[in-house]
Amino acid sequence: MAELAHGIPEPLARLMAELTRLPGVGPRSAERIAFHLLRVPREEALLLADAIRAVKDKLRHCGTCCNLTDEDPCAICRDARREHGVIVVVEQPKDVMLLEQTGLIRGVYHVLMGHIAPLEGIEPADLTIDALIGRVRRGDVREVVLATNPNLEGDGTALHICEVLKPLGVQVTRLARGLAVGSQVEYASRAMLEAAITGRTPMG
Amino acid sequence: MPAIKDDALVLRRLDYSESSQILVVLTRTHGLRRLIAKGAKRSTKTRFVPGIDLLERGWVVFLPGSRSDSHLGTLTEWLQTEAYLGLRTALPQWYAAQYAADVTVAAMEEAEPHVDLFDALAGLLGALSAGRSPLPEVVGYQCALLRSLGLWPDLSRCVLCDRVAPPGRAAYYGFHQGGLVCSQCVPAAGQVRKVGAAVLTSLRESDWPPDTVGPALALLDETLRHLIGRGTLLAKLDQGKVGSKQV
Ligand SMILES: [Zn+2]
Ligand SMILES: [Zn+2]
Repeated sequence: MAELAHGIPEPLARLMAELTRLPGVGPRSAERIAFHLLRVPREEALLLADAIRAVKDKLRHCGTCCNLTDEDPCAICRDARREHGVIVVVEQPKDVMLLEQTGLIRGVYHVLMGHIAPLEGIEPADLTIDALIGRVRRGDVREVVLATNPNLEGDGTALHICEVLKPLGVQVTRLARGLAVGSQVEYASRAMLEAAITGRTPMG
Repeated sequence: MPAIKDDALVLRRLDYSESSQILVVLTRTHGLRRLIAKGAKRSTKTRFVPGIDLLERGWVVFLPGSRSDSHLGTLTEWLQTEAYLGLRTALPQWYAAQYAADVTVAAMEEAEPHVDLFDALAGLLGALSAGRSPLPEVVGYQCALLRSLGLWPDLSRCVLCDRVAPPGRAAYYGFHQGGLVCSQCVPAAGQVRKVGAAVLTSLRESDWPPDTVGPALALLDETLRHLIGRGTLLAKLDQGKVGSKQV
């Protein structure tokens, strides 16, 4: 492919094509970003290229919690101030980031790298459940907090993990669900209302 | 084309883009439909707050797709009416509901209405969500699915020579014929399976005592696998207890 249609040189067209493949980036945005990168100094533009390379070359999964990290074990698993007896189980590395932003989790994490989805052919063995069982077996874990998504697949995954952990005698809890904070009862779905009613907590 | 409003069950949910999903829904009066739900995965700025989950029931409003876009319709409204939350409290029921969703999507033609099947599936999800034992419920649904598709096996006579099958006796079931095959016709029938007398009685009378439910489930599953040309989630239903070779 040499000169493309519309007189765009091939390297620029290639950059736009790659940008268009990114989530949320349409052809118009790709064009804007590409021309921006063309305009800024070489060093500045290459910072982006370096950052992408570093993410792909240096990030791997923590041998303990399976979260993404550049050092194994990851910073959270290495942190002696955290409660290593409480493991919060999430589906994705992104969920760890969000829970960390609350500043409320004193424990450590376990990233499943997905959820059980029979209709998509995703089985328990495709996740990091065995590694979680291994961590609980090694002892000193008193609570496993299941923070998988409150949808059909996330709930089924939580059920499965609860069953496999039961014989190990560890306490298993599930994040509360119900009404979305900041919303109105009027706009809640029936499922949210049901969950909120059955999961109500004492007050006053 | 005018929008269609219908009662629907969500059977598959596939990610389509960063923000959109494709839903496969069984509607009560417009059959199986594939609908794109634009923006369904965004938590804000969407008409579909709080998202549309698998195996929910609700009112859909959609613009039907045309032949040129392989009948992919566009979802414009969704109002959840039943979430079957009980499915999420026990794994056997959780797997059983997904087994039913899977075979339904695989076996049905798109846009062909089957009101009876919709009602059977909604009934199954309700029963499973209420904690009813999954296997008899699933067998009942397999029967409803085959009946609805016009493929319920003839269990009264040999489908090849019309010889009457005496009640209370074991018989051969031919998968290519979709019915009973007498012993004389077996050599010509291809793949057959011997079905015990008790299982045949259960199938004829739609009655599922514990000793016939597993074999009946396995037989009907094999019939469905022949129909859809691939495997099912049978093994998930009750590992070890069903799917035995001898039925
Ligand atoms: Zn770690
Ligand atoms: Zn015959």
